[in-house]
Amino acid sequence: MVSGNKSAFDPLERASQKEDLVMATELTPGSQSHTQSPARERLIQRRLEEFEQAIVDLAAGKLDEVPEMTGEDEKLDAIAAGLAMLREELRATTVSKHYLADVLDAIPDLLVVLDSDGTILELNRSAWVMLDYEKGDLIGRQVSELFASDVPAIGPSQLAKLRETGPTPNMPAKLSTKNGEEVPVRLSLSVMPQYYELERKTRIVLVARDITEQSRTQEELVRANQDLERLVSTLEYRTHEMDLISEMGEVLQSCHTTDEAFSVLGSFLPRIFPTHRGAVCMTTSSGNVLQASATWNDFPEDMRQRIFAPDQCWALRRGRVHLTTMSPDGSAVRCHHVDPAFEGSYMCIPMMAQSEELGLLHLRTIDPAGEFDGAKMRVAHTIAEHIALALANITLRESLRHKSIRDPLTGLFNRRYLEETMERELHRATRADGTLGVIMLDIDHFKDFNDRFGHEAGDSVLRQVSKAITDETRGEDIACRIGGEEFAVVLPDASLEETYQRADSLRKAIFGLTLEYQQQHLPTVKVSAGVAAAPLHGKDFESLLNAADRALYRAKSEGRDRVVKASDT
Amino acid sequence: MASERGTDRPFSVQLDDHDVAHIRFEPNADLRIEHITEIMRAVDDIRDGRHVPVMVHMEHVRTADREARNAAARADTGSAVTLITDSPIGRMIGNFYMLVNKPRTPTKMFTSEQDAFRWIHGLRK
Repeated sequence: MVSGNKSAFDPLERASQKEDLVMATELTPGSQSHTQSPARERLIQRRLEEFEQAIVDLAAGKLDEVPEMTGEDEKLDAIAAGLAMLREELRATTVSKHYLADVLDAIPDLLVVLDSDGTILELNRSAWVMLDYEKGDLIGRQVSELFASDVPAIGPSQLAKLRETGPTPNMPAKLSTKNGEEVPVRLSLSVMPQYYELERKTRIVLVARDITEQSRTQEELVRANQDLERLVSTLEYRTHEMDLISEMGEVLQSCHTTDEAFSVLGSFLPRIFPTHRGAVCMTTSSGNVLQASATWNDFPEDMRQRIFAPDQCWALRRGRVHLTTMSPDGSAVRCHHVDPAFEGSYMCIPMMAQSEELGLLHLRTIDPAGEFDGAKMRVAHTIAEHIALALANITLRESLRHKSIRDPLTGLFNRRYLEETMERELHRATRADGTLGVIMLDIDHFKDFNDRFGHEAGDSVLRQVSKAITDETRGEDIACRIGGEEFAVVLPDASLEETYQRADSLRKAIFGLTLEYQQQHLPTVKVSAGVAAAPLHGKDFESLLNAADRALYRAKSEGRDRVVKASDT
Repeated sequence: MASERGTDRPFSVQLDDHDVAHIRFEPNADLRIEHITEIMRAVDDIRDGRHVPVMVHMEHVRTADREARNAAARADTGSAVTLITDSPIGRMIGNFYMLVNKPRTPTKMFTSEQDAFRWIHGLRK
C-alpha cells in the first residue's frame, strides 16, 4: 500500500528510474518509420530550428515567445507543448524569485546569507543600506568585517550546534558601517534546512535588528526613571520636612514658656535642617541687643554666647532675608555678627510678629561649599514665621497669666494665686506628713497714712513694703497681696515656731524701711501679723487662713506692731 | 451500472464497477484551474467519502496550464492516480505534471488501461 509519504513516493526519485516517464517522442508500435519524405524532413527541420531558438530564448530569459502547436505533427506539437509549459514554469519561477527578493528587501532587519566559513553570499537591501555600502561591495567579504565587536563564531562546532539546537537566541552585538559608525543590533544565526543545501554546501542565515532607537529609548527610560526616583525622593523628603514643620508648630503652640519653646526648637531644627547649623537669636526686652536662645548642630560656642546689636545684622536692618553665599549670585555683604573666620553660605531671617521684631533665625551651611536652594530658603522662611508666631503667643499668654495671678501694683501674687497655691501646698504637706506655715500681715493705721499723705504715697509704701516682703522671703515662699494693705505669706515646710520667727523678722524689716515718696521721707510703718501652721491649725485652706486671720485680729487688738500665734485648735 | 456525472464541461467523471473513477475529456481540451475544481467536486460526489483510485484519460487533452496542474497536484484526489495516454502531448503533459508539479497522491502514467488496472490492483493488495 502506497503510504504517500515522501520517502515512499518521490516523483523525482521514481522519475529517475524512468518507470513512470513515457517519452513523448518515443516511437510507438505503428508509428511512422524512420523513412521521412522530403516535405516531412523540411517540416521537422524547421520545427527543430524553432525549438532550438525557443530553448535559447528561454535560457536567455526571454519568456514571451515559444513555438505554437501547429497540428502538423503530434510529436512535434508535444515538444511545443512542453516548451510552453517550461516557459510557464520559468516565468513563475522568475516572478517568484523577484517576489521573494522584494519581500526580503522589504524586511527592515538586516538579512545576510553566509557560507560555512563566514563568506557573505547574499544580503537584503536593509543590510547594505544599514551599513552604508553598495550591495556589490559586500558580496564575497567575510562577515567578521561587518562587526565592530562581538563577532559571532562561525565554525564546524558552532554549525553542528546550530543544526542541533536551532536558531540562536537574540544576541547583542555592534555592526560597523562603512564610515566606522557603530550600530547596536540584536542578531540571531540559523542554518538553512539541509533540504535546500545547494551544491552540498551549508548556508547560514544571519538576521540582525537595529536597536539604536530601542537603546536610545531605553537610555531615556533609565534617565527618566532616575529623574523620577530623584523626584520621588525629593518629594518624600519634602513631605517629611513638612510633617516635621507641622509637628513642631503644634508642639510650639502647646508650650507655656519661652524656655520650653527654645527646647522644642533645639529638638526639631536639627532634623529640619540636617545640613545646616544655626541659632534662634532673640531680642531682649529692652530691644537693644540679641543673643542666641537656641542653637543646633554644633553652632560655634563663641557665637552662641555673643551678644550683638540689631544693626549688626543686615537682615534686621533691611527688614528682609539676607543671604550670603559662596556663589557669584550671592551677596558679598556679610553681617557684623557673623564671625569673619566662617566660610560658607548663611542666611539671616528676621522674625516679626504683630509688627514687632522678636529676633532672627540664623542658618549657615555645614559644608563650606554648600548652598541654599530655593526650597530650603522657603522652608527657612516658614520656620521663622512659625517661631515668631509661637513666641509671640507664648509671650502673650505669659503676660496674661502674669496679669491674672499678680497684683499689678506690687507685683506680688494675688489672692487668686494664693488660693491655687495653698491647696497644692497643703496637699503636698499632707502627703509628706510635713508642715505649712501661713503669715497674715497687715499695715497698721494705713488708712490714716493714706488720708495724711495721699493714695499715691500710700501706693508707694505698699510697693516698698512688698519689696521688703519679697526680700525677706525664700524662693519657695509665696508672698501675696490679698487686699488693700493686707498681705499673706505661705511658707512651705515651716513649723509654727519657724513661721512666727519669720513673721517677726518681717515685721522688723518693714519697720526698718526708709520710705520715700517724691524725694520726701515718709514715716516708718508698722505691721501686725498673725501666724498659723498646718496641720496644727487645719489641713484645708479656709481653716488655716481663718486661724491666721484670727491671730492677726488678736495682734491688732492687743496693741498692733506684733506677731501673734494662732491658738491651738 | 457505474454512476455517471455528465455536464456541459469538457470532461466527464464516471465510477466503474471496480470502484475506479474515470475522468475523460472532450477532444482538444485546454484544461484550466476551474476545470480541475469542477472535476474534483464531481469525484467527491461520486465516491461518497471513500478514497477511490482515479484514472485520467488524457488522450484528448491538448494543454493544461500551470495553475490547473498545481491544483490537481495539491488535491486529495484519491488513493492513487493513473494517467492514461498514448499521445505525445498527453505524455508531455503527464511528465511535466509528475516532474514539476509533484502530485501528493501516488501517480503513474500508462499507455493502456489494462496496465493501469494491474497497477491499481497491486496497490489494493
